[in-house]
Parts: sequence; structure tokens; C-alpha cells
Amino acid sequence: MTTLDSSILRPRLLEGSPTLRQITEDIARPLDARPTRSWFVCFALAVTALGLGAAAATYEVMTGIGTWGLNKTVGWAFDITNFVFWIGIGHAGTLISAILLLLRQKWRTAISRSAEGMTIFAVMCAGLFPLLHMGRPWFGFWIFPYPNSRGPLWVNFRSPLLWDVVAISTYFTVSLVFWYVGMIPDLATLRDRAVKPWKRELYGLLSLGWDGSRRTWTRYETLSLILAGLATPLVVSVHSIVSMDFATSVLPGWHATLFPPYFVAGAVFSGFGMVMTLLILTRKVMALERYITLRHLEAMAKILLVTGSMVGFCYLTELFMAWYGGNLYERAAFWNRATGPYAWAYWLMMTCNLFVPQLLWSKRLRTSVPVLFVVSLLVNVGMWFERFVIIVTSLHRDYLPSSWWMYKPTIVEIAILTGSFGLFFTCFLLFVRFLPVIAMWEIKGIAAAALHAREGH
Amino acid sequence: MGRELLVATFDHDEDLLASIRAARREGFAVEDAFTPSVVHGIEDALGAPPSRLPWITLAAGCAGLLGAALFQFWAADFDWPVNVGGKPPNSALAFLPITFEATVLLGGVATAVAFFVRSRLSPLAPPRLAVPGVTNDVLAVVFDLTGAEPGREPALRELLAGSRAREIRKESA
Repeated sequence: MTTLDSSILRPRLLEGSPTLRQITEDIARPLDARPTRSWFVCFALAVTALGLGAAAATYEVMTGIGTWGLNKTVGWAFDITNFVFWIGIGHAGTLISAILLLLRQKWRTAISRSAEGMTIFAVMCAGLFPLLHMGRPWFGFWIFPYPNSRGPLWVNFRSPLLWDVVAISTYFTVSLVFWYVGMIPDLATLRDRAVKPWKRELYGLLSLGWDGSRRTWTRYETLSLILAGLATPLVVSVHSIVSMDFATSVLPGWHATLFPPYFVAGAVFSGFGMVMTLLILTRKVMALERYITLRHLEAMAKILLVTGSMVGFCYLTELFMAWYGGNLYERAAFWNRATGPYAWAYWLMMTCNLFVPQLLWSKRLRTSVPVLFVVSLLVNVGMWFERFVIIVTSLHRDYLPSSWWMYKPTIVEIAILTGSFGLFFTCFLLFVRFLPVIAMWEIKGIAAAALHAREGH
Repeated sequence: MGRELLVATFDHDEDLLASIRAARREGFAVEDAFTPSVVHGIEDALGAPPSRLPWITLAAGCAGLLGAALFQFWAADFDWPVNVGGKPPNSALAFLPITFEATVLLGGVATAVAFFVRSRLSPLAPPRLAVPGVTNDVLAVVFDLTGAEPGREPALRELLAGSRAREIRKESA
């Protein structure tokens, strides 16, 4: 380490050189203090949105799914758009914690915990939509193959919709286990520094009697690696299977072998967009700039640039194949997307997902927090509209002109979408209040490594 | 029978590792080490074997794989074959996604459960900390001195002091 500048080989992942005790203090202290006024304002807004969504969902379930605009031929419009949107958001967490763990990308440590939490909350939001779409959600368990009194009549294992159910339940379970296991050492830290008895009890229950023994750590590292190894193909499989909901149908604009990689890239892209939005806010509000540094934001910006370009490449491939493939219906569907009544949505999607991320080629823009914040918001908007474009434009111009229809969301649909954002932010705000947003034990490992590098070990 | 333990605390993981290596060279038995974070190389320093958890993953993953594949085949082919869009009853390729997901689900969950059981982690387990602060900023090593010759303990204390131990304390358990 003497001939090479060590900062090239080991880029700085922490500002300054905090001691282990300082790391605990910096990350755990915000949990002891009374929440700030801005936290209360955000929480009130989120709970209000959640209440609005709950009221709309109640009305929808009691009245019938006609309130959801399902009396039209565009039956999959809003709810499946929202479902795919939220599932996509839920992809960044596992990508960061699993794939980047396997690739030994150390910068992930500062952002993995909050990204994983975001994954869990986003998958919860996603699950709402198919459930409500059923119309009678109390029969939701019918989608699982269980021994029933109707034969037993089994579910259709050839249907991508069933694959979806299994993939998403698996994804939710494994992500939850991964998140919780990753938190146990930190919960023990919180338990041992808690002053209030109820906090000591609560964290005591959750930390399962963790004592930091070497034997447990050895098994713990093995378990983390195994879960990462399993979650890596899982995360790729989930959005591939979601895309098969579309790709295995024969509808123009959906029936494409391109769909699985296209959806996975889009999911990572939208997930990183949301992580970026949330972390820029979190690091500011909770004063964690020392741990979530500009370098972290820049690394995420690079991933946005790569995945955004991949998504853009898929858009162009779709267009090319529509022309080159010689299928008249396919060609008409894409011509309709780009110039038809929903052209505004198509070009909004193109702008936000293909053109805007290209700004991040510039180092100056990539390291400017306000620019990154605006770009991440636009990515969220663009990726929501991508799903809207795919679903609505293909459904509103079917093979039969008699089933052509224009689609416009109802009040109930908009209220339920608002409610899902309410649920997401309510969960996220509670998470930043009660659990450590940064994995303290992992940061301590990095701090030790940084110390060795400085001392020339 | 009472056990004689010597607990040494450190500030840095390098010192902890150095003391473990030195003590083992001198033939002292290391009972356990307690750290707030993963210390890389501690298994090598202790000569500890790697975890056997991957075997659980393999077994549970295989069970998930076989279970899901056979169940789908049985349900769709034998128990109640339903003609869906003229697809053959045994649409083996279409059974792959669920088979894969079941493999991952069982493998992952079983490994986590095995980890909890093996490490005796449960909501009711009381934390028995070797030293206060091992979940914050203290690294600790526990040596077993039960039945050691009288001269051994001062030798160990000297060795530990030489590798920058912050505090050395004797305990009986």
C-alpha cells in the first residue's frame, strides 16, 4: 500500500474516522430523541393518505369492482400498473443487499438496511392490488394450492398468474428473513444501550439473546452468504415471472420474448430511483451525511445510468422489432403508442427513463444532490408511466375494434393508489424511528478495515 | 465444578487476533470471543472449522425442488387433470418457475431456522454478555484456565498485556 495511493484502491466509504462507539452513537441517537416536527408532519400526511386509501378500498369491496373502472375492456389498467410499479420498487433492496454483497461492493453497507426495508414495504403495497382486484379479497387464499373440499380442485400450475403468487410470496418471505437476520446484532446493540425499560424489553425480545459470540458470528456470516446467494437468482426470477403475466399472452405489445430482461432492468432502475429519493431525504433529516456520502449517491447514480440505458435500449428494440417483425398488429400497437391518444404518456416515459438519466454521464451533475433528487423523482414518474403505457395502450386497442375503449382512472382508483403511497411512507417513517437505518455492525467492519489500511497493515 | 475463566478486552480487532494467535501458540485454551462486528480471520486464528449450515441449505433446497416438482406433476397429471387451453397435463416446462421458487423458499427459510436453533437464539433467551459493551465497542476474548498450573495465569496475563489488552479480569463460572 505504499507505492499506490490507497484512496484509489480503497475509496473512502466514511467521512473522517469515527470510533466504534461514535458509530453506535451517530446511528442510534436519533432513535432516542423525540421525533422532529418535520417527521410528525410527514407522518400525519402519510397516515392521512393511508386512511383515504383504506376508505376507498372499503367502498370498493362493499360496492363491487365496477367502482374501479373494471366495467371497461381495459380491465388491468390501474391496479396492475400499480402492482408492477411497486414490485419494481421492491427490487433495489435485495439487489443491493444480495448481489452487491456477492460482488463485494462495500459501499452497499450504508444503504442496504433502508433499501431492504423499502423492499418489504413496497412488496406489501404491491400485494394489495391483486388482492383488491379479486373483488372478494377474503377468498384470497384460494390462489394457493391447498387440499380443499372442491375435489380437491388444484390451481392451474401452468398459469403465470400462479407463478407470480408463488414468486412474490417467496420473495417477500426471503426478503423479510434477510432483513430481520441482518438486523439482529444491531437490535442487540440497541437493547444494551436502551435506557427506557420498555425499549430494553422490546429490543430484548427482538434481538433473541444475541451476545456477539464468535461461534454465532461464524454461522451468521455463512447464513448471510447463503441467503444472498439464494436471493440473487430469486430477485431476477420475480420480475421475469411478473413480465410473463404479459409475455405469455397473445396481445400485441405484450407478446415479446424481450420482456423478462426488460422488466428486470426496469425494476432495478425504478428501485434505485426510489432508494435515491428516500436516502437523499433520510440522510438530511437524520444527519447521516457522514455515512451516506456523496460517493454512495454517485454510485447509485451510475447504476441508474446503466439500468436506464438498458431500459431505453429495450424500448428501442421493441420499436425495431415491431417494424422488422412484419406483424401488422404489433406494428399498429406501437404506432398507436407513439402517436395515438396516449402518446403523451409514451413520450413522458421516454423522456424520464431514456433521456433524463443520460444527464448522469456528467460527473458534475452526478455529484449534485439537488440534480440527483430531481432525476430520481422523474425516474419514479417515468417508471410508473412505463407500466401504464404497456398495460393501457395494449388493452385499449385490442384485435376487435368493438372492444376499443378509452381508459381514465376513477376517483376510487386514484384514492387507492394514494393509499398505497400512504402505507409505504407510514411504514418507512416508523422504520426510521424505531430501527437503525444503517447497519451499525457492518459499518464497524468497514471502519476497522479503513483503520488497517491507514496503518499499513 | 467451578471453571476458571480469564476475560481480556481489546479496542481493536488486530490486537484481539494477535493475542489469540499468541495465546494458542503458548497452548492456552480459548473458550470464546465476543465482538460487536465480524472479525475476519478469527476462524483461522482459532483453528475453528467452518459452519455446516450449507448442508442444511442443500438438503432443504433439494426437498423443495423434488417436493414442488412431484406435487405439481401429481396434482396436474393424476389427481385431477384439467384441460387448460389444450395444453398437455404434464406441462413440465411450465412447472419450472414454481419448482425454482419452492427450492429457494425452503432452502432459505430452513437455513435461517437452523441458524436460530444451532446458535440458541430465541426471544426468551436472556443475553449473557461476557463484558458490557461487546455489542457496542468492546472486543473480548475468554480463556479457560480450569485446572491450569499455578504459573500459567501470570504468563497469560503478561502475554495479553503485551498485545495491548485494555482490561484483564478473572471470573469463575
